[in-house]
This record gives sequence, C-alpha cells and structure tokens, in this order.
Amino acid sequence: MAATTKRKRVSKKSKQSWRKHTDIKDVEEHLEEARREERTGGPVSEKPDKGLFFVDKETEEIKTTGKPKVRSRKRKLLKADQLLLPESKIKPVGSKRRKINEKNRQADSDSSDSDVDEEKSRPVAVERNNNRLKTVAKFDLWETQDLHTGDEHFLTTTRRSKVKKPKSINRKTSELEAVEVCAPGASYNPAYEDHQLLLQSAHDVESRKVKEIEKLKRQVKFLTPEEAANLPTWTEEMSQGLFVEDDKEVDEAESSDECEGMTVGPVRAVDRKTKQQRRKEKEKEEEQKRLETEKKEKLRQNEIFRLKTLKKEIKMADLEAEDRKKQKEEIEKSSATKPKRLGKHQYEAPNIEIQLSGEMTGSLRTLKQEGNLFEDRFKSLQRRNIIEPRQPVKPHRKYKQKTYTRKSYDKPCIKEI
Amino acid sequence: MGNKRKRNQALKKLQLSLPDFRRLCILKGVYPVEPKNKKKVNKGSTANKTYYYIKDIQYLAHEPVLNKFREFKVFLRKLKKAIAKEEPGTAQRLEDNKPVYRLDHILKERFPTFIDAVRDLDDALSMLVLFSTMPQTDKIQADVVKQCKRLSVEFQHYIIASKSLRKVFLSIKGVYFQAEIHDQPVTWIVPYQFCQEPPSDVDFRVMLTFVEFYTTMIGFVNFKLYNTLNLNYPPKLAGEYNNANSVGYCEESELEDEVLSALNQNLAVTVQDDDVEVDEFPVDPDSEDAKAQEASKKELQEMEKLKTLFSDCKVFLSREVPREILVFVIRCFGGEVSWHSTDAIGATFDESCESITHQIVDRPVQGHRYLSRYYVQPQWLFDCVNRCKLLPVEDYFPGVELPPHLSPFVQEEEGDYVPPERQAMLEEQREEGTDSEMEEEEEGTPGEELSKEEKNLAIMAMKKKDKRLYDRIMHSKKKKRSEVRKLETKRKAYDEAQSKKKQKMTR
Repeated sequence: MAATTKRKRVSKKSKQSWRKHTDIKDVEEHLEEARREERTGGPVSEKPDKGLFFVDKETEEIKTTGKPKVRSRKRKLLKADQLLLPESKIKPVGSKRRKINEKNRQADSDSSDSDVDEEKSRPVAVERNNNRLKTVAKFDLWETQDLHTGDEHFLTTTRRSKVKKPKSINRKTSELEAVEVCAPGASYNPAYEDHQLLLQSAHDVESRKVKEIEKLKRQVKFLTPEEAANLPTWTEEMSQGLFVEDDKEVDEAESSDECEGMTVGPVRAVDRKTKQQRRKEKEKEEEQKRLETEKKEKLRQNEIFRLKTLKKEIKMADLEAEDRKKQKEEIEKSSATKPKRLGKHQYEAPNIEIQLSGEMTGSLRTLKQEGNLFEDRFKSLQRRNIIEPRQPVKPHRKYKQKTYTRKSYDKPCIKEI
Repeated sequence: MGNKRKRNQALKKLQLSLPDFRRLCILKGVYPVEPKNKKKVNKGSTANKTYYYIKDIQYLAHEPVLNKFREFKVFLRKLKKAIAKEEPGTAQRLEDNKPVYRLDHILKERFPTFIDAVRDLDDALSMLVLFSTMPQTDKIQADVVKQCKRLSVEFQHYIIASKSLRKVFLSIKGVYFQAEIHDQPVTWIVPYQFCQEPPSDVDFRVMLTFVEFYTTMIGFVNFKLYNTLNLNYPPKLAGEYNNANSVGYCEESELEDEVLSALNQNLAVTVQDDDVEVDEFPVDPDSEDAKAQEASKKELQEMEKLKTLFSDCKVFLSREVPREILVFVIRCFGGEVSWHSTDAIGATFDESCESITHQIVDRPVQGHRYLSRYYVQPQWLFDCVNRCKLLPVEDYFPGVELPPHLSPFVQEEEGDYVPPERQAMLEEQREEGTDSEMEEEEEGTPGEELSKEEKNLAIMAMKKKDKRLYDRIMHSKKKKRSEVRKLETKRKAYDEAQSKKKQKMTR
C-alpha cells in the first residue's frame, strides 16, 4: 500500500521531463468522451428522455421462453422495382465494397443487403456488354469519311494514318468465277444431248483414274510365293557385312599390290626437255595463235558478204524468241485458272455431280439433290487458291492407351478344367 | 530468300497461333503464294510448303484486329483460371468485358468503293444462304445461322423490290440465280430445302471465319442497297399484316421477322419518289449515236417488259412445290402469290379466290379443280423467266412430260452442238429481235466468200508454218463436227425410241 501512495519524486526541470512525467490521462479520457458524444448527436445529458429510454411492454414470459427470434430477411427487390432504380455510374466516394468470400457467404447468409446490391449491379454490366456488339450495319460505310487531320508525326505515332497497302494484297488469285455454274447437263430436267455430254465428261474423268491405277499395278508387281520365300530374312539383312572380316583383309592386300604397280618413278635427266625443244614449242604455239587471230580477222572482214544470211539468222532468232514468249504466255494463261501448289497437299478435284438416266425423275417434287454444297464451296475456295488444301486433323491420343486383361478374367474357369 | 516467307516464320513474327493466323489472313484477304522456284526459297529443298509475301505479313502486323486476338488470348486464360478457382463473380465480370473486334475498317480497306463490294458478292451470298439453312450443331452456333437467315432475307427483299433478277437455273446441286445489281451480274446458288448435312472433311473453322466476314459485308451492302431504293433499313412491312392467318405459327415478338422471311409483303418506303424518265438528247438521225441510242432504248423496253413479266398473274402454290424459291421468283417479276394458310405463315389470299390465274402443282392427281385458272408445273415459271416471255402453258400441264429445262448460263460458240429445243428458242429470239441486222449481215457475206479453187490455191501458197497451223485448226474443227454429228445421230435414235414408246402406250 505504501508503495502506491508514495509518490515518486522526479525532476520536472526541462520541458521534456515535464511532458514525460505529467499524468494527463483523465483529461484525455474526458475529451475523448466529449468527442464521442458529439459524434453520436450531442451529450447525453442534453438529450430528451424519449431518445434515451423506452417503455418495455413485452411480458417477461415471452422474453424468457419464446424462441430466439428469426431475423427477418429483407425482401429481395423485385425485378420490376429494380429496373426503376437510378443507375448512376458515378460511385459514391469512399464506399469500397467489401470482398466477400462466396463460400463463407453462403454458409452464414446474414448480410441480406449485399445480395440485393449484387443483383443491382448485374443488369448494368450486361447492358454494357450489349452495347459493344460486333459490327452492325447502321451507317453507310462507303459514304463516311474517316480522314484524320493534323501533324504527320502525330498521326503516324498514334496510328491514325493508314498503313500503305502492298501491291500483293487483294490480288486476284485465280481467273475462275466465284460461283461456277454447273454444266447444262446437270439441269434437273436436262436436254438429252446436254445430259449425254455431261455423262461423257464424267466418264472420261473416271476412265482416266482407272487407267492410272492400272498403270501403277503394272509397274508394281506382286511377288510370286516362291520369290517371296527366297527373300532374305530380317536377321540376314541386318547382319549384312558384319561377319566377313577375313575376306576383307585379303581384298585389302590385293588392292595394295595393284597400287605399287601404278607408282611413277623419279624424273631422270634423260627425260628432261632441252632448251631448244622448249624454244621450238613456244614458237610453234605463238605461230598457231597468230594464225588463229588472222583467220578470225579475215572472217570478220568477210562477214559483210554474209549480210543476207545474218539478217535471216537474226530474224529466225527473233521468231524463236517470240514463239517462246507466246508459249510462256499461254502457260501463264492456262495456269491462271488452275489450282496452285500451296502446301504439302495437292488439290484434289471433287467428283462431277451427275444423275444417271435412271435416276432422273424430271419432276421437282421427286428430285434428289446431288453432292454437298458445303464441299462445293470449300473446294471452290481451294480451287481459287484462297486457302491451301489440307488434310483434316483427326482426333488422336497423345499417349498410347494401355490395354490389359483383368486377373480375375485371366484365371481359368472351373468349367473349362 | 526472295520476297516470300514460310508460314511458320510468319507465325513467329506475328506471335500468333496457327488458327488465329488463318483467321486473320481470311479477314484481311491475304492469300498464300506458290514460289516460282522451290529450291531457291527453301534452302535447296523441294519440299512443298506454304508461303506468303513478306509485304503481306508486314501489312498484317499493323492490323488492329491482331491486338484484339492477343487480348482475347489473355482473356481466355483469365477466364479459365477464374473458372478453375470457382470464382463465378470474376468469371462473369471477365465475360462482360470480353474483347470484341470490329471489321468495318477491314471491309473498307478491301472494298474501297461500293461497286467493289458488289463485284465480290457472289461468294458471300452463296455462303450466307447455305449457312442460313443449317441446323444448329456443336460447330455452328444458332445466332450465326439466325444472322445469315436475316441477311439473306433482307437481300432477297432488295432483289424483289428492285426487280433485278435475270436468270434462274434449277440444277441437281441447287438453284442458281443471277441478278443485276448496279450493272454488275451477281450469281449465287441456293440449296434446295432439304436438310444440309455438314460433311466431315470440310474445315468449319475456316468456313465460319468466311461467314463472319461476309455477314459484316452483306450487312453494309444491304444497308446501302436499301438506301438507294429509299427503303427502310432494317426492313419494315409496308402495310399492317393481319394476324388472323398467322396465329400459332410463332411468338408475337417473332411475327414480323417470320412474315418478312415469307417474302410475300412489300417493304415500307421512306420517301416516295417519281419515276425518272430517261433524258433524250437530240442527235443526228443517220449517225451511229442515234442507232446506239435506239438500241439502248429497245434494251430498256425489253428490260421493263421482263421486270413486269408476271404482273398479270395471280399465282397460288400447292403445298408440294418448293415455296421459298417460287415465291422469290414470282415476286421478282411483279406477280402476286399466295399459298394455303396452313402451309406456312404469310399467306395473303385463299385457294378459293376467283381472280387466281395460275396454280402451281407438282402432283399428277388433283383434288378439286377450279375452271377459272391454269394448273401448271413449277418449271413453267423458270422457263418463262429464262426466255423473257410468258410461254404457252399447254406444255406444262400436270402429268405432261415437260420440255427440258435449259441452262440460261450457256453461251454457244460457233460449231458447237445446239440441242433442237435450244435452237428453237434461239431462232425465236432472233426473229423477234433484230431484223435489220440480219439484212446487213447478208449483204456483207457474199463478197468475202472464196470459190473452192481460190481456196485451194491459197492453201497451196501458204508458208510451211502457216500451213501447219491451218491444218491444226481444220483438224480440231473436223473433230468437233464429227462429235456434233455423233450427238445428232444419237438424238435421232433417242427421239425415235421415244416416239415408238409413246405409240405403244397409246395402243
């Protein structure tokens, strides 16, 4: 007790020590209280009684025995009312919505207000998305001008000015029509000749295919059973040249002997050419050169008499060049309507759609459609070199599937024994 | 390396996946090229690969849509993550802010003027019409089909309103139409109303990308076309449609769309304009200008005649005929048409209507027959259109063997075999048309004709080279002639066989 009553003596000489050792707790508390009262609507002492107290009219029984009152959930806003709510896009300042963990929220759904809040926010979002639909024609594309004006540097850096189109873009890839009208023989009720012509063309295509297959068959013959039996086995083929070391050594020895016979000995003094010989050779060479140039000169001078033939030759050369040019043009012209090789796979022409004479009904009601227009359109795109022909990617497994038999299945059955 | 790059190099440069690259190429109209020299372009290897022009790839790199593709890639990654973490709120938010790209700038780049777009309409229309008949599958979404349907109906309405249909050809593959839009021939193919089965070997991702581009294109083209005719866009029905006949076909909200797609109602016009008379300029009556003017005037009159071909016809369709195609054709030439109100939505008058002139039937046996109208098979309409006049109906009565349906797209060359039916048609046209021109031709020909002797002499005097060429030409002509003769004999035999059969039948 004495310890508490006894005041500790401290010096309060400096301002610092004065602040440190003075007790202002009670003053702080009072001020805090006053501020709190200010915030909650004035000091309690000045409030009327009505605002502070109420008459408890509930009986004691209910209070003790009655079930704990279920908290009434606020009624969810009806859609009709919701739509009438003002949807200001400007959020109130500083009202950051609490992040709610979805799982926890469902477990203790006591915050009914937040439910409504979320509902309210949804239609706005949906509406925003609807506004940004894909391009819809609501204006004349070819009349509207989108010319931007301003500094050139500004336009290029902000990408307002158009990029220059290369020449190769939007080039015509083929001379073929986009929609090729089929032959008159493919009419649903064709004239006899037209139909025959179409059948003939289809037949030609088919017979060409058969011919090709036959040619292949001729070239690649099947082995007879005897030939097949005499073929080397796999082990024989794989061990080719592995067990013949002895023979090889012999071969090497033989080859070395041959090499010795071919060697050239050193040059002897007798074999050397004399100075005279060398000089004569040189002179001979020079003489030949001189003669050749003389001859050439003579020919050149005589060309003047060959004028006629020269002219002819030039003309012929021109004609040939022209011919070649024409041929090239022709090839180019024909290739303009042909599909090009644009990738790994080659374009395969679709079958010609035909109806045999027996299949034709001559009536629109009983008509059977031939071919598929999807395929027709797709092939047309390929034929016009717009897309490259491809093999469709088949669904495949990344890993091979393991197969095994169950043990129980594997065990011999009693009946079998 | 030249001016081309392999596709993989392009992918690396653009940092795109292959499907995205394909889509971008289709949207921008960048097509692969075949190199002139395989070895030069592929380090001495002759393996066939896909190449693109470097300039094209560089051009693609500037495309704003490219950025959207990248954004979409990121979006998908985020969405996947949100779904895996079971955060529906985040997923919803991401879904709402999905990156969307627009194609109108590309469209304007590819088709700087409206006429360019009209020239390229063939492909787009065929594709759109084809997709509009598709069922919804795992590959084809319902809204794509719906949009295709809407756009094709709008386009058909334009053709009807402008009366620009010229040719129709019923083939075993589908129906070919040709219209003249802004003086450009536009051809498209429409499938018959059967179930179109999507084939297995067609890449639908590629096709759908085309469809995506074409829907945008046709949307803008339709808008412009409607504007040129002073029609409302999106189309509106001219008069109030009475709902009495259409109860139970569809929801109230879909009623207008359904009636529109029945093609049987006129469209609302924004401004009523007077018919514009063609100006006539005074010219010298003997000069060539005058002749040209007269010819063009005649052509114009012919065209007017064709446009109002069925204007005096009131046609009723039985339920066994292909309604969509027939309604479109009849309405394109100013005819009135209806069908039984239980067949489909949009019927305007009943079968018992007294003013009906033609009823289109395709069954040999009829129930009740009205005497006030002709019963004809559907081919009559198409043949009338192709011949530009109303043909006699006798050949097209139900049960009668029809004359062949000839293709209006054929242009015969000299020396080609012409079937007798077509010959008759051509002669008829010639008689109707230019009598004066024929006379001129006759005047011109006899002077140029050489006698046989002169001809032989000329051939003998030919140079070796010319002679060879001449022989080649003559050989091909001879071959053609022999083929024609063969066909003629075949036809003769066939006709005889047919007549014999008929005689037997009558006995």
